[in-house]
Amino acid sequence: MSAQLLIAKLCTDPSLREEFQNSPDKVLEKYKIDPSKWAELKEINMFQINDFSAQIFYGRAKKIRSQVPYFRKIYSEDAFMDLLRELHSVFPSIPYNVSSIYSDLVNLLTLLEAKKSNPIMVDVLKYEIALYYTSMKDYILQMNGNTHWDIDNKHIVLAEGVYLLDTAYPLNQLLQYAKNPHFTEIRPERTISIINRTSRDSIKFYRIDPFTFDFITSINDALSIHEHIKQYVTKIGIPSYSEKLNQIVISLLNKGIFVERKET
Amino acid sequence: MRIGVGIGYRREIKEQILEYKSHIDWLEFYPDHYIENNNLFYELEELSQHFPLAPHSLSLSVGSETGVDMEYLNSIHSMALKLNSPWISDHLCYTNIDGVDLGHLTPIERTEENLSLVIENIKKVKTNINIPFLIENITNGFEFPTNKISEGEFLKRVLVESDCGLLLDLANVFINSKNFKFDPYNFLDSIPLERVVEIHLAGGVNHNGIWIDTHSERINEEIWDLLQYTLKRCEVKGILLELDSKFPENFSEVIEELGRARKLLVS
Repeated sequence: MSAQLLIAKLCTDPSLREEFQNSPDKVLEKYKIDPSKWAELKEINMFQINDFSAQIFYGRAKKIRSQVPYFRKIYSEDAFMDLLRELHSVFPSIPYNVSSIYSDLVNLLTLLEAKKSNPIMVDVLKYEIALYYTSMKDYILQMNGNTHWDIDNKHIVLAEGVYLLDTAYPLNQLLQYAKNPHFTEIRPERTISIINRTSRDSIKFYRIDPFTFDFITSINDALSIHEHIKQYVTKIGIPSYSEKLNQIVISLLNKGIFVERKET
Repeated sequence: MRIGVGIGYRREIKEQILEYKSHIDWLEFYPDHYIENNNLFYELEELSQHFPLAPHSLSLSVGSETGVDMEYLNSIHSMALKLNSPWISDHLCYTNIDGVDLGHLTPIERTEENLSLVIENIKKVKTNINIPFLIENITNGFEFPTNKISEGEFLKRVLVESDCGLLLDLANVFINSKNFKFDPYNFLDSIPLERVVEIHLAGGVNHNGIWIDTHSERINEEIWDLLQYTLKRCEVKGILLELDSKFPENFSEVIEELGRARKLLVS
């Protein structure tokens, strides 16, 4: 093994760091490091390695935290950080890219489930992972030519009870995109119209199917999870989603998840 | 051809970037995000109507024994071609190695063996793309006790022997000089400044005596001095301000920094 690989392992595995600090020779032997390098490698500044490892961990934690705002509120920030630290020790390889954050989230869920946590906590985390998954996998806004403005009588309306307030796109901007006459729809069988009840505006979008996701196998499951979140969010005093329709819509668009209900 | 003074594109500041577009000459973006979310590519196409765009990737891992991920490189190259980018850049580091994905720019052990490895990896990158490739000096979170070559010498040989352009991050030079106690001007004198194509500027934080490259603060005066020093010694095509968090409410603060950099660039 090379020195670089050993350092990578040290930076991402707290138990190996501890082992190295206690008995470096054992680790160097175990990882088949060229004996001519042992004396020098033992001089590595473990303060710097620990600090670097912390930077890696907090960079990763920041990305994970940003994806699960409701879960953090419900589970409590301190408990969440403990869970992240546990994640760090149990799953030491530290991925960076978007799909790897998804793996982190799934690992976090595995940890939570192993703790036999309150099933509602588990549901909330599943839900937020589902949101992340869908936004990552198949962004609802097919801006590169697949959406178009449409008003007809076949709208599918967002169910009340779906709410996430973090946003990246203002609704006005979305509406402008959707109004662009150059957009065409490529998969009409999988579209959904989302209505902004306040302005009576409507956008028809490419529909992604969040319910094929491992954790949520049916609309009923999703609704049930929404209901759990709703109860908890109300309990802890997050502003009512019903007053934040625009944000809900935007968030749904961003996250690519929704609950459908035929408009009557 | 000089491309001017730009800023790293982050979605959080998209509106401000468009609002102040007359003050921003070009943008750099992290292609990693768009590789995973290719549906978001429209965003770059939209921006390319206003600015030249250059991909600044994070995961080529040119210091890795396991080599460069060609699929990843091809994705970046394809984006760069679609956007008519002036160049592609990545970092002189490793980010993954033999199944361990660090997700962080990790310093390379500076040995003759690794020098050859990096040169080969960069040559491989260059032969597989048909636009210029730049390599950036990083902040060293730690130093390998097994290093046999100085950072300046290693960088110089990488650039010369792989015939590669340099993306000189002056914030990283500043931070390394503070954390590892060397003279940043001596470092600049030791590298082939004629290979500098682009310069990065950013503000970091001092955490318990250790400087960290957070891309979150205003640029400090010592970095401005380094910029002035560098610009007197080479023809730079582009300067870029990196800002990843703590976006100021008043974006004109950022525009002022861009203006200051532009003034130095044109003078």
